[in-house]
Formats: sequence, C-alpha cells, structure tokens
Amino acid sequence: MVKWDELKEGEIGPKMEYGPLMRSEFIVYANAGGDTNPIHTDEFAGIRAGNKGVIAHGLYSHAFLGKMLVDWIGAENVRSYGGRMVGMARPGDFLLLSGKIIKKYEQDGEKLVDLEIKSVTKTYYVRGMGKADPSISDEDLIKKLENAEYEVEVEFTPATGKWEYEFKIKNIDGVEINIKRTVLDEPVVRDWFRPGKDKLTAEIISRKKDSFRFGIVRLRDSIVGTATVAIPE
Amino acid sequence: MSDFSSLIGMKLKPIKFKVKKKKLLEFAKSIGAKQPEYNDPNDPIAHPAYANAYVLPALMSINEAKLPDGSPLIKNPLKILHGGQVYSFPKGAPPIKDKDKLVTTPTIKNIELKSNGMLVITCTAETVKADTNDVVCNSEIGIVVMPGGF
Repeated sequence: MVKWDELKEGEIGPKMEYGPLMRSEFIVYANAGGDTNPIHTDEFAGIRAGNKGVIAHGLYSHAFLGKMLVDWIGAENVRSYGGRMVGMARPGDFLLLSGKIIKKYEQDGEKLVDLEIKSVTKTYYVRGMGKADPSISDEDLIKKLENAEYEVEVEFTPATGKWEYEFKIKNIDGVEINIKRTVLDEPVVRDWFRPGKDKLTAEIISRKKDSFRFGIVRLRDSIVGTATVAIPE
Repeated sequence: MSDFSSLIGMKLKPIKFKVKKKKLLEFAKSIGAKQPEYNDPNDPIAHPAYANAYVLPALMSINEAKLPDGSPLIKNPLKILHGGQVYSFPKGAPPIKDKDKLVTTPTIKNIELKSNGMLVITCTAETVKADTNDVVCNSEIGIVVMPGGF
C-alpha cells in the first residue's frame, strides 16, 4: 500500500514495464477500444501510411499509463491523467512506464500527488550472447558494448521479399561476442533509426560467471504527460 | 488566412456511446488489467483507461465545425492526427457498466496555427451518463491537422 509519508518529491513513484508488444494485441485493442484504423493492424496499410509497417495505437500506449496508475493507487484514487503522443511504438517494442512525484499537497481534505508520467519505447536492435572476464564490472561491460563498432549489411530482394543481413562487431577488449547466437531485431533490418536524434544504449539482460546476454536498445519517449492521484489514509 | 477565433467556445455535436459488457471485458484483457472488477464475466465495470473508447469518437465531431462563411473547418479528415488527451475523473463518480448510455459533448477551447503549418485544436469534453446526468469524465483532447487538411 502506498504511504503518504514515504512519497518524496523528485522520486519515482509508480513504474511498470510491458512487452514485447504483439500484433495480435493491436487487433484485440482495436476491437475493444474502437480505433479500427488499419495502420495498426494491417502491415500494408502501415507501409502505405509511411510507417514501415504496423504501429501501436497511441491510445494503446496511453491506456497503459492508466493501468500503471490504477495498479499503483486504485481506480477510485486516480483524479486525472494524460499526455501528448510524441513517438511511436511497434511490434516487438517494450513500454517503460513511470511516474515522477512532482508535488505533494492537501486540497479539499484530500492528500494529493502530482506526477510527471511518461511512456518510453524500448526497441531492441541487437540481442546476443557473449563472454567477458568476470573482473569487468557490469557498468564497464555496458560501456564497452556501447562504444563498440557494429557493422550491419542488409540486402533486400523485392521480388522474393527476402531480407539477408550480415552482422559484424569489431574486437572489444576482454569481451567476446558470439556472432552465431546474436540476432538482429526488426528495426535494424528496416533501418528504422534517426541518425543524430536516436541514441543506442547497451543493457545486460543476464550475467553468469563469464557469460552474459546483452541487448543494444534505443529508448525513445512515446507519451509525456501529467497525473494527479489521491493518497488514501 | 481563415479567422479561427470565432470558433473558440463553440460546442460541437454531442456523441452518444452505448457501453457493452463484451467490450469492457475485451478492453481489460487487451491491457492486461487483472483486477476482478474489470473481469467479472457477469457485471464488469470500465477500467479508467476505457475513456479512450468513449471519448475517441468525440474527436470526429470536429468534422462538423464550420467557419463563419459556412465552409467546413476540416477540409480533409485524413489529415487529422491525434495529439494527446487528458482525462479527469470526478471524485465519487459512479462506475461505468454494461448498457450504460454515455454522452460526450466537446467544446473548442483553443485553435492555434503553428509556425510549421500545423493547426492545433484543443477541445474539452464532458462525458455524462445519459439517464442520470452524472459526470463520469472530463477530457481535454489535442487534435493536430496537417497542412492541406484545413
């Protein structure tokens, strides 16, 4: 249960991660939520609209902000929430939702909290496995992965619809990447990246002795907004 | 250039929405809401995020807005984008249930022509239960119209 005295301005309150988003979920949401625009359910409609395929409903991501707040504090205590759509989410993406406590105050006999809420889309570009000297800390390993040079060659044959790609990574000191067990996710193949705007970061998914699983991800805001909730006694 | 200021404060066509149990259950499933009140097969209530479903159609009533000369504000509805929205739920508002009839009335709050050529329309909307007139949600909706759409 959320306690008023434990909430501090500037700290993160509710947090939630959801994903990976799936095309089948967009179809369920379209039927339930009433937004039947085919760009969310039909790959070709998405391509025709210039989105390089299906994109999630903005309101689908928006709904997860509501879910995060309801799960945190209960529906009866959510006074308001919402935000602006500033980015897209696609199948395979994860939504990282959070609410930062901006202000605590009392009004009309209620204890209220204003939050800055946002949904960040996490997109995997590369996922793989590797080996690293156990003396390298997670932090240093992330830095090494982020600073490594990756090279991807993509070949697309329109007649067959076949994508072929080759992935290379330059040597990283003390780290060995298993190329055969490294997969490229859809965004790399589609070249869905904005040079100068997007920043790729590395994450360690798991680590055991000298082996680890990693991902190269892009984080991009998809909804930014505000919420007000009441904190029950 | 059209003068949009005369449209500020204009009430748009109210939108009626009938709540159906099946849709409430589907919606809860689609966002993974696990609480029993949203998943009761006999008497589910609407998750707050379900406001998406009954407020969204109110966006479309912007197509009815007319300029002082009688011409439509929106010339090409395909150029409309959804900019965002905020929902407010009055304290103690009754839950939304199967067979409820909701009426959402949008009002144009502001219209601004941006330097990038986009027209940004902000509407407020009040949603009430048709039989009791209880307010269940107040919304603020941002509508973006791309150049060529107005």
